[in-house]
Amino acid sequence: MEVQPLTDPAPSTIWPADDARRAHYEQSAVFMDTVVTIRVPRPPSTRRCAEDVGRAFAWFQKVERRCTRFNPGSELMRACAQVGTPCAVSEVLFEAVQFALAVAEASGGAFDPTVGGALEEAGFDRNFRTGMTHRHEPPDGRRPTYRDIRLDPDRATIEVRKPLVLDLGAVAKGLAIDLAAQELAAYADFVVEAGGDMVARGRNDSGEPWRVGIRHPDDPTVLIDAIEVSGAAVCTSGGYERVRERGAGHHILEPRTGRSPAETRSVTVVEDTAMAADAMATAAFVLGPVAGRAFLERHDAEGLFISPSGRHAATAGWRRDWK
Amino acid sequence: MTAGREPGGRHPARRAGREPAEVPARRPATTQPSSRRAGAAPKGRRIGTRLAALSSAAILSIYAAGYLRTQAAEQQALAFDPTPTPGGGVTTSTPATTPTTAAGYRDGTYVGLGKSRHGDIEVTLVVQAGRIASAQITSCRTRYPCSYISGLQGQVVQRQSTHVDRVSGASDSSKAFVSAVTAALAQAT
Repeated sequence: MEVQPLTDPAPSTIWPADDARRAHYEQSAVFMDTVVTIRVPRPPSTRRCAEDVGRAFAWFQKVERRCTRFNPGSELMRACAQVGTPCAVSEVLFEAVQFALAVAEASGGAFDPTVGGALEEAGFDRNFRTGMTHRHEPPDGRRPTYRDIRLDPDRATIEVRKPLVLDLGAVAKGLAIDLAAQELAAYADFVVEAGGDMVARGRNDSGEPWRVGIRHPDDPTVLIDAIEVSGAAVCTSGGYERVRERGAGHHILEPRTGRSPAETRSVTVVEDTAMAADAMATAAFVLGPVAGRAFLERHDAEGLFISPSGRHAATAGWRRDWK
Repeated sequence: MTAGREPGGRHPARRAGREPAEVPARRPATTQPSSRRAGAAPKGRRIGTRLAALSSAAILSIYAAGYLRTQAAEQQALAFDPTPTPGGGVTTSTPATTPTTAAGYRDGTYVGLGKSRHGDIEVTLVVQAGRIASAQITSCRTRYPCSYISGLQGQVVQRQSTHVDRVSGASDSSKAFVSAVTAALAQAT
């Protein structure tokens, strides 16, 4: 099984108060270099639930296999290798790239999936679990941007117009979470969590809304905030935990400069889908607390920014319950 | 060129004008109920083409393509090791009803789960008279022996906090333990 560091650090998740723990079904597996957990409180049938959860997990494998940049043979990397030629791709990859480009456009390039080449240059060329490195020649001249990618929705093709490496790290994990959640749509209550990013629906084992803790970026023992979520996605992008080996900085790069933003330590976004929440958290992280907050509010998303000093700022609509 | 191409036509939904009508009827049309903002007051903001709406459309489009259903064989060959943990029998704990004491924590028994890439750790925390009386590792599903970090249990009681020493060589497990204690303690505050 191939893996890829879809990089987002985990805010601690508060699992239900177990004093009222009743029958639930829970399963964990490692995908995308992180632990994925699906929990369904009170399933009508454990056997049936196990099958449904198995299908939900299968989406993680499908998304990962197609969208990884750590396997030269992946669909993503094959599309990147055919410079100047439209490349027919799967629905999964096409939609992931299309959404990534929409966020790039909406954020004025603060979010840019073509940051893959810059990530490799910065030393993020290694699969964190296998230790294998993947390195491509840096592009000549001007740094590529999202405008160097052309999509044809009718033919479902992707064309890269100049040599570049696409990095779908900020959308692929969220997409897999959302597809898994879609697979579980028949259930009123469940949570799909991958490395601190999650979709929570309905109620927890105790019949209460799911509680999600947002931890301090530098001190996992300190909770900055705890929110209640029922029917929403919560994703965090942060510049901690995966520090690059060479030079200063972390794994989220400002696409236009190739440097890591230092103003913010983490951004947590609540949205309808994990794909939107994750990508918007990354964009807001790059934009910083002022422009990032305006960006989130413009798109009717809510977010919490934590600065290196620990101070935090939030969108006007940030509250502690999303029910 | 795509070796793993889906049989039976690649993008049925796209060919059919991207109608999500091919989603099986038993499934609701959206991933999550849109109740999140139902109770919220109007914010007076521009809501243009919300990115969230685009993402929902993308998810439905993929789902409607029937991609997964055509690959049942592959699914059965899934590499992950299913370790289902049907609930009920893992741990039980007593509800906490005592009000918060001067010492800070609410009496009761709390369970917290911490995760690492090597596995999960469950800690059962007992608070008596407002103090942490014990912090037991009640479930250790890590790849490594739990004895590596068992010394941390006493430190939580001694220091009355989650600030425990990291164990060299078991840093992930230590972090998972701290996360579990934090999660349990969060219920006691």
